[in-house]
Amino acid sequence: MNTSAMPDARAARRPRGLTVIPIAITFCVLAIFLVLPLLAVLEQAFEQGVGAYFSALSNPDALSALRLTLLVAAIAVPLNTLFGIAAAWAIARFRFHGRSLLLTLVDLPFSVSPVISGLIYVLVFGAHGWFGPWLDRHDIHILFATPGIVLATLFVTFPFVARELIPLMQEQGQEEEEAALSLGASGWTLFRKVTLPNIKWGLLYGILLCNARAMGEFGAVSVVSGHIRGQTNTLSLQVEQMYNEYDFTGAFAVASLLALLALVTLAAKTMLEWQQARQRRTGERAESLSRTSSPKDIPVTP
Amino acid sequence: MSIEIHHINKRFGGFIALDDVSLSIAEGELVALLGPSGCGKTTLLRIIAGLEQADSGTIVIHGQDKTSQHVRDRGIGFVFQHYALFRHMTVFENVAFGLRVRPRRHRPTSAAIRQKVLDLLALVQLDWLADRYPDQLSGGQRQRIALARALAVEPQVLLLDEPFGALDANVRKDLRRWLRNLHRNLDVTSIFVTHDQEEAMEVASKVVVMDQGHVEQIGSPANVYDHPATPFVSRFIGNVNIFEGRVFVRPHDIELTRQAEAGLPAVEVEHIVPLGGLVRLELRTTQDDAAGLIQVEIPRRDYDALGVDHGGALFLRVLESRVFPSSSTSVA
Repeated sequence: MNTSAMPDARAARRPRGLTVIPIAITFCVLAIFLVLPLLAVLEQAFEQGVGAYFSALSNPDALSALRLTLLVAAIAVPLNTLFGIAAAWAIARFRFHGRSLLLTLVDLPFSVSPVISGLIYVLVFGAHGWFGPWLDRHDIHILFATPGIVLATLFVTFPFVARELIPLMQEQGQEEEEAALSLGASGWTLFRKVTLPNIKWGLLYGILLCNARAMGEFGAVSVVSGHIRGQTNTLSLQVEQMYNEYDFTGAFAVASLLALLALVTLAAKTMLEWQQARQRRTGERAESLSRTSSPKDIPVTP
Repeated sequence: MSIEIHHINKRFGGFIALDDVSLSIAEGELVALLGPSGCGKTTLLRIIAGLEQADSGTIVIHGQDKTSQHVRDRGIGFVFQHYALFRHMTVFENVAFGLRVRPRRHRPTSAAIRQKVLDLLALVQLDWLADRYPDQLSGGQRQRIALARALAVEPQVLLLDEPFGALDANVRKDLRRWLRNLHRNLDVTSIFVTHDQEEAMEVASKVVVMDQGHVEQIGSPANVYDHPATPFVSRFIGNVNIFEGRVFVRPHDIELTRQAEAGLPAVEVEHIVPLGGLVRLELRTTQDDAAGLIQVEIPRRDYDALGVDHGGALFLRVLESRVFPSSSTSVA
């Protein structure tokens, strides 16, 4: 008897170091590489006092960078939400030629360096690019202007929503949608009343990540922006420029805005996950309840 | 409503799911599409529903050609194997869905919808669950809600895909009987898909046996069992012993005797399975060791009278057999 119980007992008596050490290492790494830099940003930002901090933030160039960042996100995020839903729908619901190609293309922005993502727009719309001369003749500015920044951001943030939704929609299958169709629902009603409620948490999560990236993107935007102060600088570009000009307080003050944004995103993400877990839990609890209390479950013949 | 299915063909890539299937179902019938998995029965059901398009052929429901009509306009009720209830809606909202999504001019008032949903929930005896969510229900309850939801739109035809497939054995038995009675009261032409021959026999008024995209036989449960048209049907419906590859004998069409007679082979008992009123014996002939086991089912009384468990010589007499040309059996 005792011998058969041995392995269990040994597992329970596993040296505490085995669990404590990896946890400690993880926390140390996080502290050194994440928390410390964040503190350093704040420290630098407030080094010359709260007044200097807020005056750096209210600098017209910083405000213009904030406006541009918000504008770009306000355009890129809704568009990519639509594209993402459409792509996920097509990939999860239909079998067609080129489906796996589409799947690869959705992932392309993840696998391409952001600098390349920016450069492709220079190649397409730049002065020596394919459409450059034509655009120039018609006085349309894409590169080194807001449209270019929006395009580059759109490209970089494309996969977030689609990537979040594809596995979710594949897992849920399409029986509910087929049921809705057989009950007479139109395509739009079906989407609004059946598909959307089922994917809503995954969708929100994807939008959140997409937004975080849209606001924080540096590489691709840097290539197409032209760094025109007060016009084509986003927050991250503004930080770099101020830093290069030895305006440390200003650079870190603006950086703290971006860091704040990251924290808000994290908090929202945690809340979403918590919400989902809670829903699942109440579902399970209710299910176990109904299992124990179903004496009427046995059908009586009518 | 009657259903006429004419020359339906369907391929998935190189796989032939349905090969020139024709079928006609009279009004008010409860038909089982029966066959092993991959025989095309679910594909046929989905084509009747309009969830799948046939490559060629026509579907006529009550005299109207519905072949190219969209699933939402076909007037069918479809019950899915895994229920497919809307997980974020209450039971009440699930059943009301089909009424709420109607265009405004055809939509009943909300009071009428409410009354109708409560009536349907009462019909499936689950009115006390109206405010629950699908994941709070047992499998049998979910299936009955799925049925109520399908009935809400007053379908001309009710289609059920393996309706009891995902349920426990005893819940399944109850639901079968319940469905049969419900069908009798509602009188909606219904087709259900199953791979379980016992289920088809018990519930359906007519059985369509399918194999590899073909209809093998159509008939009443008794007819299909007693007069199988092909070796496949003979093997698929009920148990059967096959001698020399072409003589098919049901286990209960064999008699055992203690009397040695000319031409009766002697057998040894390998295994005894008591089945309530029947006893199933697995026998082996003493002359030919290479031959497979022979299954015999005899009434408990005969078994006791023979004293099979005391051992001794037993002889086997075939009372009834069915011979198929051996060419067709070699396929199977």
